Amino acid sequence: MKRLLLVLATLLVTAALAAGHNSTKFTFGFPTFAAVFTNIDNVEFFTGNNGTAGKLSGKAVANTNYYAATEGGITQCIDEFLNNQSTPISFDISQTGNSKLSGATCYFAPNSVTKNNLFKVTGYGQNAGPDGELLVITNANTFNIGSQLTGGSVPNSGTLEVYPGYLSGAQLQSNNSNSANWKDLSMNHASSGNNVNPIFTKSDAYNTQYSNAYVIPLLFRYSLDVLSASTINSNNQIQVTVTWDAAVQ
Amino acid sequence: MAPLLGGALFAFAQVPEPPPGYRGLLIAPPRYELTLAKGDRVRKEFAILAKGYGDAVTAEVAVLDWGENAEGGLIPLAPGANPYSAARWIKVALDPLSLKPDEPVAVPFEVAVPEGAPLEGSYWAAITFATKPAPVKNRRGVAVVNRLRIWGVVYVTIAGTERPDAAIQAFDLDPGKEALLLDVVNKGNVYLRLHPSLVFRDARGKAVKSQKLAERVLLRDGLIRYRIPLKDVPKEAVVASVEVEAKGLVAPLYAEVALK
Repeated sequence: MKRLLLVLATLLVTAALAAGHNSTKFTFGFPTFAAVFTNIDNVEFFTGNNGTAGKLSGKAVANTNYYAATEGGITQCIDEFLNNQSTPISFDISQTGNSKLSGATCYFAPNSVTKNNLFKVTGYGQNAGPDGELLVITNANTFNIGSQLTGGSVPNSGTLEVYPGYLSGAQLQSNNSNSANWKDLSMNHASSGNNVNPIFTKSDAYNTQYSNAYVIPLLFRYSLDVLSASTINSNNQIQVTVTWDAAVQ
Repeated sequence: MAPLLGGALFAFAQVPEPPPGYRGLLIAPPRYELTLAKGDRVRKEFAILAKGYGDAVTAEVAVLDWGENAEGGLIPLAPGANPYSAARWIKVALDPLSLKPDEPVAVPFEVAVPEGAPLEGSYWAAITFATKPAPVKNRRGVAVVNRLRIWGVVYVTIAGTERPDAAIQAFDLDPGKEALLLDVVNKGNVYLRLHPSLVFRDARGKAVKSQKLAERVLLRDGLIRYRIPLKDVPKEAVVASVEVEAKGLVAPLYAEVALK
């Protein structure tokens, strides 16, 4: 197909020039193209078929700091949190801004990631399989990938986050490791529903073996404020859409 | 839809084939930077191509206002939220596109700058093309579906009214002394493409390291912040200086900071 397009383009340009058409009509300014691809269909947390709580599977099983994305997993997380606190903390549901609660978070890996294909761009030295990838192809000097979460109401206690890279098993087990690089996909930073955090730019992307092609590995997680964890259960149906915005500014 | 220009076909022909299993949208060109007079009316087009899909895919078309944050990330805005919006000047058919895999289509649009309005400087918007993800059925819990939206950015600058101006508002070490922070503010009425260069010098003023920073666009009334990690800086470096070039500026912006 690529070869066919090239031949067709060459023929068209040649024909136009031969006919004395204004050649500037065929001049595209730099950059000339941009593209965004993904291999991810959907990412699920706390899900199961027809209301049955989902089972944790895949890589996340080995990550002891990630709990089963089930109601039981939530209970386990909360129990461990409460039991392991060396300093008793005071829970006041009205004080959501209470700094004492800043560590009261459980992290969940997806219990299911549906990819179109298990193919991964190789050669990046990854130690943990990512949940999927974005692939940006452009001959621009710079590009932006943003995100926007719409279509569903993620409980206030939960935050969808994404990490643009590969993490080793040890890094995954340490939830605080690289925490600054986890990007919040939720709406809770802007009333408009747009993420105001910087998302990804060319500097977040890995080069590929192809010129002008860059890959952004993605890891998803769901962080949960344990104070409000009861708002999550697998009988709710919450479907959200992450729009990946790709722009060459 | 309209016949596809040879330029777009040529652009698409340069695009490497995505790996198997990936699917998405291509756009050519990804932006237009137009300089027009009041009352001007021009026709342009974006070419769109779907790749990797097994069947025809629907792409939703929209005209979008946008802004940016200090880190340069683009933010979709609600209609009317950008005071320098060109969205109302753009006319494009908003019917969803049915894109057959590997069959590019042209999406013509018109930019009509109003004649009587008091306009000066730069305005911008984007035409976006978004895939429509299939819903997840018979599942409970939190299901996240992925949607791809590619932007065709359109800048319009009113000819003869350009007043490019900018200033370095801050150039300093961050509190942890792990990075340099460079803040550039727009003081003019046009967007600027910033091209900063950094030089580290030793006590005798000799350059011991230099680096170019990535291009970023500084919108009207905007602020761009570069955070430059101080990695691999030679020990003998005592001063860092930065020079920011942008088309239209009378002279590059300059600032320096002591590192020790």
